Amino acid sequence: MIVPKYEKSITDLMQEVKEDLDFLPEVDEVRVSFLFAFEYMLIS
Amino acid sequence: MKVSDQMYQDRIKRITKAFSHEEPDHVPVIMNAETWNVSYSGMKIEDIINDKEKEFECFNKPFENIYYDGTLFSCLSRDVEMYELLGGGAYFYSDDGVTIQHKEYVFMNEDEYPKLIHDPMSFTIDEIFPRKYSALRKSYPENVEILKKAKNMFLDYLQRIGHSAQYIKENSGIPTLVSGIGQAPFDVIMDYYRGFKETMQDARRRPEEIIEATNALVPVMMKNIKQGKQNLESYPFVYFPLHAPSFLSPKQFEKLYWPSFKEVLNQTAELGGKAILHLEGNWEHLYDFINEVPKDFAIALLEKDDIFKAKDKIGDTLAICGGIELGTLRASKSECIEVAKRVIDKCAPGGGFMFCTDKALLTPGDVKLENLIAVNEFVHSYGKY
Repeated sequence: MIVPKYEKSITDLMQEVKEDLDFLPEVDEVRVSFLFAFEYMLIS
Repeated sequence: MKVSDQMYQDRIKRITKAFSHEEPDHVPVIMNAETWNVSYSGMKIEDIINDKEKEFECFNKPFENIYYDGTLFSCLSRDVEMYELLGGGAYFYSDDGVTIQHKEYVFMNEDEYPKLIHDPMSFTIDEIFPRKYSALRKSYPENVEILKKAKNMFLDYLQRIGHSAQYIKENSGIPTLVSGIGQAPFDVIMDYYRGFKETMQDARRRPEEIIEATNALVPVMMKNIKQGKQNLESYPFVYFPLHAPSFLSPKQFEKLYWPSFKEVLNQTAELGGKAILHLEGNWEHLYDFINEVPKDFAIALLEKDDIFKAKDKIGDTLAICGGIELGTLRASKSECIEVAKRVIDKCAPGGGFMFCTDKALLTPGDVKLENLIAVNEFVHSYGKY
């Protein structure tokens, strides 16, 4: 399988998503936890 | 206290007592249904996907006419729209709009186990996600904008889970038993990375890599189960749908599936959580392993196992949940009652038993409604301790 190169990695994109969580408290642990739940939903 | 509040508390007590091998006041009757609730309410999935209230009403409606003490789920289990927005995923609506279907894909090559083992999340996010979701292969910033929309849909989905459970609690006094999802690492590899056929080949050709990969996925699974919490509540439960073991020999199970899964179960127990183990297929060849699970840590939700054998062989370790096949519920009412009576007579004494169908109700034809109503009423009244 050929792995193409992208302008930004998906990890970089996820970091931008993390900056867009205004509905959550500005607590890093909470935001990291939400982001992980989102990532796991995309795995499954 | 409202009537529904008291009923809700009584039902939780009934369920948790049965879970702990105590005799409750009645045998709990558990609903295992998903999209059937939608067709039961005279709707199709498309009628409810953008209307939360309608979805909540659909999942509450059966409780108006059918006796239940609890339900596994209170809303649709997947947000198919989110996966479609991302241009991929494995879930879609059936052509008749009645069920959510799953299609298997292979997203990981056989020679990529080392990358999965080295860093499961980085490998998955940066290499698997773009293969799986075509929207992520679009140019920047179009791809990140779609990802942000998907994140908002995920937030909406999380809220629906909580609000739907609250809705059936307030309207029908029915508790929702499931609060989180766990999986066995081996099933994660099979379901989301390699597919069934390829994983079974890997089990023969690359067993050591599978073992390492399942071990690497344990912290990922625990993070998913913990949901950012330090400890877990003993109620509601973590639901583990378990797919592969029916197809594994005891030797394969012992070597490839059990060690990492047992670790997940032990860590869940140490954190205070309790589990529903959905033993999909037939697990009768694996009961020695099941008996290693901490006592009163889990319910075994049976599918094809002989319930009497299960009660005898693993019933002291786990509570047993099952009792009637969907096929039986399409037969005559008297046959259904006879089956239910035999199951209660043998499985209810001493507690550790809940009544449920062997499979989830998905489509309108899965059961004859009058039989389901009659059986659940019978189990509630005859199952009085």
